[in-house]
Amino acid sequence: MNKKGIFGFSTELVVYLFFIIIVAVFIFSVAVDYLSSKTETIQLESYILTKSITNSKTCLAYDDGLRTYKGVIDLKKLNFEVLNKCFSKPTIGYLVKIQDLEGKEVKVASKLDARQKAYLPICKDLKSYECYSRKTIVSYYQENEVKTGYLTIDLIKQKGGFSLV
Amino acid sequence: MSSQWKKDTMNYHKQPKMNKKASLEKMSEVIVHLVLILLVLIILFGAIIKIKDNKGHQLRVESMNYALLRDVISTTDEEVNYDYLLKEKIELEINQENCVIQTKFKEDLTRPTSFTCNKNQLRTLQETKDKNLIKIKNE
Repeated sequence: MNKKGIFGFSTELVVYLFFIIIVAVFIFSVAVDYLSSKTETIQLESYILTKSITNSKTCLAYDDGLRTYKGVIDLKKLNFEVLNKCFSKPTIGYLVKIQDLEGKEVKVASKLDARQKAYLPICKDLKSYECYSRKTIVSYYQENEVKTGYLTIDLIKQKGGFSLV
Repeated sequence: MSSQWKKDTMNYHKQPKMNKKASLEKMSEVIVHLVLILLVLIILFGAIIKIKDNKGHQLRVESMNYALLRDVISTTDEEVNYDYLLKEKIELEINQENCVIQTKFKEDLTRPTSFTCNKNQLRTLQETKDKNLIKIKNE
């Protein structure tokens, strides 16, 4: 009565076997994909970095001795030493650029080591690094005058900020 | 007519002997089906259990949450008091020197996970632990 298929099994059984294998492989792959998924934090970290830079007087926020002007960047503070002291993570490097409203560069400073400096322009092609660029409108203090311009932060981060000890 | 009837009757009585092999085949097919369905169910439940009790993920989330919370608190110059409630089974260690947050299970051998936080050299955060409650103060 039974029609013999491959290797003596009935055709019906072979079809069942095929579908069951597909279902099993699907469940297994979904589970493996979920368990090995990586948490991406680069956007959040770039946001925190931007807020640190613009809001804290220990970073770049302009402070006249009486009060701190949040969101106003003091260009005198924009250098490696200040950036290194205010926001420093071993896995993260960043470049801070101030431009005027016409897009003309006003000042640039970075907190990048030699490797990060070399990798930043080609970051998208590197598997072990990820990059993110954030551009916001800010005010900056220059020559006793508050001007409006753009703050661009280019961030480079080693992938998988987590490490197993 | 009667001889035909006799033949039919004899064939009818022979049928069970003929079907024995077929029924055995059918039986083995059913067993194979059951085994395969069982296999799929085992994979399904195994995956569900593994996902629900993903210890590595829990450790990663705790270390990341705490490290980013510290970063957020250090963005402001104003005085901030924040109470962070850690999961009961998890232990958190803060390496102030390199600013590394390490999490591990209290009674489990799952490998500890760490996440780096922002090291602000100009400001210190005061952190006091009381069981699972960590009080963070920005000065």
